[in-house]
Amino acid sequence: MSSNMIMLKSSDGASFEIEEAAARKSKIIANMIEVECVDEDKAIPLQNVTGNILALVIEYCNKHIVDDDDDVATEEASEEEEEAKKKKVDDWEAEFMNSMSLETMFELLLAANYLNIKSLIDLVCQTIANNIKDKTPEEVRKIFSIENDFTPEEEEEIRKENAWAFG
Amino acid sequence: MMISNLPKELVEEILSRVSFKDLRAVRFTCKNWNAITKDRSFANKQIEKVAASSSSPGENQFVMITKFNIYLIGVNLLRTQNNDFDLSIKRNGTLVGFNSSLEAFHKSSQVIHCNGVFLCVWGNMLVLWNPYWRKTKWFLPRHSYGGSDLYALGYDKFSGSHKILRFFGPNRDKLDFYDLSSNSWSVPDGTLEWDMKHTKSSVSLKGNTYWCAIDEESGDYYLFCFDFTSERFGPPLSLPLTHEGHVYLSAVKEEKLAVLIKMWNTMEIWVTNKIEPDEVSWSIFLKVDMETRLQIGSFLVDEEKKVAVVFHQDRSRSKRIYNNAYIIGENGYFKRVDLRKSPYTPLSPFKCSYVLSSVQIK
Repeated sequence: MSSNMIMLKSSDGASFEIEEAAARKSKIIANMIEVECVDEDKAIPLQNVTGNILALVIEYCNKHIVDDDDDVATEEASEEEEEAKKKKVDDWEAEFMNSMSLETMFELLLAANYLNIKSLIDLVCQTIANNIKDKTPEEVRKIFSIENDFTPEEEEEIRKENAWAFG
Repeated sequence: MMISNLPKELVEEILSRVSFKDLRAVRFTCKNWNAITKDRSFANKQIEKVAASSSSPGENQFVMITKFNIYLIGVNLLRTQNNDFDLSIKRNGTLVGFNSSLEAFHKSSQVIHCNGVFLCVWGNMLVLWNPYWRKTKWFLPRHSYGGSDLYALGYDKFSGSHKILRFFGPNRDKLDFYDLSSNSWSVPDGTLEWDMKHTKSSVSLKGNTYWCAIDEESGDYYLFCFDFTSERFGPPLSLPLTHEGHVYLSAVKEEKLAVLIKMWNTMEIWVTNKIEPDEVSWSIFLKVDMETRLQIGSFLVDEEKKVAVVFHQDRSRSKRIYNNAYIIGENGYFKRVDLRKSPYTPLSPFKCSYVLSSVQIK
C-alpha cells in the first residue's frame, strides 16, 4: 500500500482504499491522521456507515480532491475558466445527487454529519430542501411520508398566524 | 429511513435551506416542522442561507403598491459588455393574506420600513408587521389621529427593539413615543427645535431616522436625526448644497446616506463618509450636467459599480407611475431605461425598501 493511501472499513465489513488527501475531506478522519491514530496496516472502522453509503462518500471525496488540486495548479486562471470549472463541479454534483433516492440521501446526510464533511452536508441538505420548492403542504407530506398531525382547530390557528406574507 | 429518523439539528439544516416563499408549506406540514421554524436561531440561519444562495447579491428590494396588489420588487443593476449597464426588475413576492392586510397597505397614509419591520398608519390604527414571522400587531396611539400626523420607525441599537416616534398636532410640534419592548407610550425628553411642517424626504438608516428640512429664515437645507437609542434629536447636520435645488435622500446598503441634489441644469449625488446622529461628512459621488425637468421618484446608489439609478415619476396624468429609469455613471455615462417594457408595468412608485430580518414583534 502506498504511504498516502488509507483503508476505511464500513459497518457491514466492506473495506475501501482511499487517498489520504481525499479522506481528509472528513474532519474526523483528518483529526485521526493528525493525532496518528491511524495504523497504516489497519483499516479505520466506521461503525455508523454502511458500505453502499461509504462508497458514495468516497466517490464524492475523490471528485472534490481532484478539483482542489486543480485550484492550486491554476491559481491565475481567468474568470471564465473559474466559472467553467465551477459549472463542471455543479454539473457533477447535480448528476451525483440525481441518481439517489430520498432515503439514500438521508443516510448519506447522516454519514456526512458523522464524518463531518461540511460541503457534503450542504449539498445533501440543499438537494433535500429543493423537494419542497413550490409544493403545497399536502405534496410535502406525501414526498416525505409525514402524517398531518394538526387538528382542524390547530390548522386554522396556523392559517391565522401565517396570514400576512409575501408569497 | 425517513426524515423523521434524522436528528433535529439535521432537519433544521434541511429546512433552513427552504426559500422564504416555501416556508408557509413547511409550517403547515406537521407540528414538529412548525415548531422548528418558530425558533429565532432557525430564522437567523435561514435568512443567512437565503442571502448567501441568492443569485443576485447586490439586489435592492422595494415594496410597490398598485391598485390591486402589494408586491415585493427586486431591482438589480447589471454590468453588461463594454462597461454598459442595464436594469433587471423582477417580482420577488406578492402579499397574500386576508382582505384587511391589503386594505391596511392600500389605505395607509404612511408605510415605513426599518430592519425588516413595517409600520402602516391606517387612520387611527397602527399596524406593525414583520413578513418573516407573518404576524401583525394592531394597536392605537394614545391621542387620536390627526390629518398632519407623521410617524417614524427605528430601533434601539443595544436591545434591537423597535420604537415608534409620532409627530402630531396641527403644527406637528407634539411628540409621542412607543417602545415595543415595554409596549408603552411616553413623551421623549427634550423639545422639538425643528419645524416639522417643512420637512422634505426622510430615510431610515442604522435604526435612526434622518429628515431633510429647510431653515425658514435662511432658506438653507439641512439634515437632522432622531436617535432611537438615546431617544433624542441630534443637532442640525449640513448638506452639501446651497439653498437652491431639490433634495432627495436614499440609504446605501443600510450603511451610508446618499443625497441627490437636482438643480435646473445639473444633478449631483453625494454619499456620506461618516454618518452619526450628531456628525456627518460628505463626498461627491457623481455629477451630471443636464437640463432636466425630471420628477424624481426615488434613486439608488451602487458604490461598487460607481453608478446610480434614478426613477422618473410621471405625474403628468392622474396615475403616478415610473415610466423611465436613468442609469448615471462616471465620465458622463447616461442611459435611459424604458420601464414601460418591464413585465410589471405600470411600475408604481416604490413605497419603501425592504430587507429580511428575524426581529420579533410581541
